[in-house]
Amino acid sequence: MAFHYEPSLAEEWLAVATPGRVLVARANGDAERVRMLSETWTTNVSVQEVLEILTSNGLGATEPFALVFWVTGAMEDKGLGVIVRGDATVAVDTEDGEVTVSSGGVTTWSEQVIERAHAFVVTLPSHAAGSGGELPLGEGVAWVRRIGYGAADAPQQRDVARRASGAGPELPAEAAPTGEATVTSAPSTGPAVDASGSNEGTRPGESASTVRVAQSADDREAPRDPAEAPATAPEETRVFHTVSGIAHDGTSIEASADQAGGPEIDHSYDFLFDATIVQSGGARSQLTQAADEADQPAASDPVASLGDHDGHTVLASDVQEARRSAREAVPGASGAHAVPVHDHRYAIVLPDGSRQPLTAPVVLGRAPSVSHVPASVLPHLITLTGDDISRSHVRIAVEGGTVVVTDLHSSNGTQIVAPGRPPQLLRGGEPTPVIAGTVVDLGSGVVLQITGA
Amino acid sequence: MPAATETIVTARSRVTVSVTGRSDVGHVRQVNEDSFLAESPVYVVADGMGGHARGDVASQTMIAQLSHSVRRGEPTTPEVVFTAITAANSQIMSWADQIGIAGTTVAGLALVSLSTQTDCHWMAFNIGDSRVYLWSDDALRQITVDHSAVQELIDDGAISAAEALTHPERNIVTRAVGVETDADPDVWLLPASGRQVFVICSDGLTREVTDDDILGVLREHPDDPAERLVQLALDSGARDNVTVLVVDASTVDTTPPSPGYHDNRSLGYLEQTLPRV
Repeated sequence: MAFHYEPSLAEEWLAVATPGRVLVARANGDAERVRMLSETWTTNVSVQEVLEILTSNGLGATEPFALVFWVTGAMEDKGLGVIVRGDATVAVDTEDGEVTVSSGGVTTWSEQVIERAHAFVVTLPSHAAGSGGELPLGEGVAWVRRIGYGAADAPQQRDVARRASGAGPELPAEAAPTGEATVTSAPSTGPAVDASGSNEGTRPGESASTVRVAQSADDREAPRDPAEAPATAPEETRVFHTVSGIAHDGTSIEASADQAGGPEIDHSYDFLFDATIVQSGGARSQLTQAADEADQPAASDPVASLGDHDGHTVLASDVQEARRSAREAVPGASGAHAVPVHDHRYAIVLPDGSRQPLTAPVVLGRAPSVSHVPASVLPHLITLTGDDISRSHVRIAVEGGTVVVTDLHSSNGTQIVAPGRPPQLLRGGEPTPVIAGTVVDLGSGVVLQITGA
Repeated sequence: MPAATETIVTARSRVTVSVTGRSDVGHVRQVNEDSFLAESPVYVVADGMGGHARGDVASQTMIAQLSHSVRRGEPTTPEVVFTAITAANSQIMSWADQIGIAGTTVAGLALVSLSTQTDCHWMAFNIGDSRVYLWSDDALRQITVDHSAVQELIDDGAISAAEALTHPERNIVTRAVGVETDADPDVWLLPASGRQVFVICSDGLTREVTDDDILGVLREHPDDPAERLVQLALDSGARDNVTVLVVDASTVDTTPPSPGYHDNRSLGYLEQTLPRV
């Protein structure tokens, strides 16, 4: 059986298909990366070696990728391995329903073994237009927007069914229980934050980028396939139902609902007196994207009102949704998407022999501090004493089921020693995954150990 | 408010706090929608919004919730502060049907004890565009990052901080207490150490008075720096309500010397990498 893929017109995501394995990685036309990725086409290269090639420049410099592998011909009984870093999404059809794997904002990657799988689709966020159609791919290398294996028609059938139903507003609700949302409506989910392709990451607690990305994702999908317009429409509605649109656009249904109960507010008053007004995180994006969306009636109104600056205090009901999805993009925050739930089974053994469970990120140092985190993911601070210890020396957290140690640009560095491995000096600021049993040496004789709790 | 001085004693240190605060309606607006709280260990400014929809009550609600929740004269915990903000958020939201939509910013500082494993910290927190500054090493540093449309433009490099002051969207905050079901402040934790002078203010100060002028006032060590800063804003026109708290804190480490404890902290420093991301 062959893979099936939708070709991409831009050199963005490179798929390397091998019997029993497909690697999709962001290459962005970089010839050196293309050469490096292409080396993995043969089955002589193991999955472990593929990962080593991908991370050869350090984990921090590793581009987003999705790696799906199975024992050739035995996907269903041996299980399907899925590893996702960054903004790619893998949707797997199993006998028990669909399972979606995304990185969920973790700084390393998500790994999952899925039993009884019979088909999967890797969906990539892309700015480029696709051809729309699908082509088969046996073994080889191709620029793709989407690639899948098994039951090739299934995703399209779902799309068609959804379009045919015309049930735009029901889309998120319908998609949520099955996890299908990431297949056709990536913008509505947490991982879609990265869909801008800018790798900028979402600042914790900031809703704006979520909204902005949701918009841009819709923008580029709309022209590609007009038939999807009904499906994307509710996303746009959500974004544009913002405050100032309400103030000026009496046609918005939600707007009138929001305002119905409140007293009339005097626009000119606040304008004169420099009043502060509340607006959803999408405020700026509406401005910057105004030109692109001039044909969207809902989009042009916010622009007009911002320029007019009426000082109307307003509430966008959809802000709540945007905030929620932004929060879910924060590592460690509670999320509804398909990141597997891990119990906190790791702890740090401190120099005095006590154990600190890794239920929250831990920052250790001589006078540890924290800068700009959402209250919901406030780390635990531990003071250590020693001349070589920096004020905020090292951060240890569980992300995606893995313990990650980050040296916080300490003056004297942090060394880790994994069992049976030579010591390794951490690069400042680079999150490094470690296994249980690893010893973390901060200098001045201060030594911690990561253990299974 | 004349300067009030109080000392908080903890297991490891002694923190002496001298605070001055003042709020003024300004020259243009008719109602002062700002409120502040200065009761050790928590110091907060709230800037209500909503015009006729009772922004003043919104900011007072924020202050009342914190005042009720935080036990006086001893370090509190982040959870107590967050719970109070959540409570105020729910309360303000519940008015939406009766008296209309209102909201408030909140920016503040609380002395917190995080666990027995670490010393006391100053926790700065904010939702909206009220701010916390730290005067340290003779530099004035903005600790909090506004939740505002212009801050997003600054972050993207689209405009400069100076342009933000006159930008047409300068009044748009992207987050506030009382408008969403969720009110999760952004948080900074700074070890309490040596002398640390914080300025907590509503945007009525920072719209009218430059950082250099604020620094100038602090350097003169007036008896009531908050009053002086508010006066500067009034002299510049004070188109909005102006509220300023100046929290002058000195922390003395009282940990008994013990083998292996190398006390090499100097006075007045802070993590260089700390205030802005």
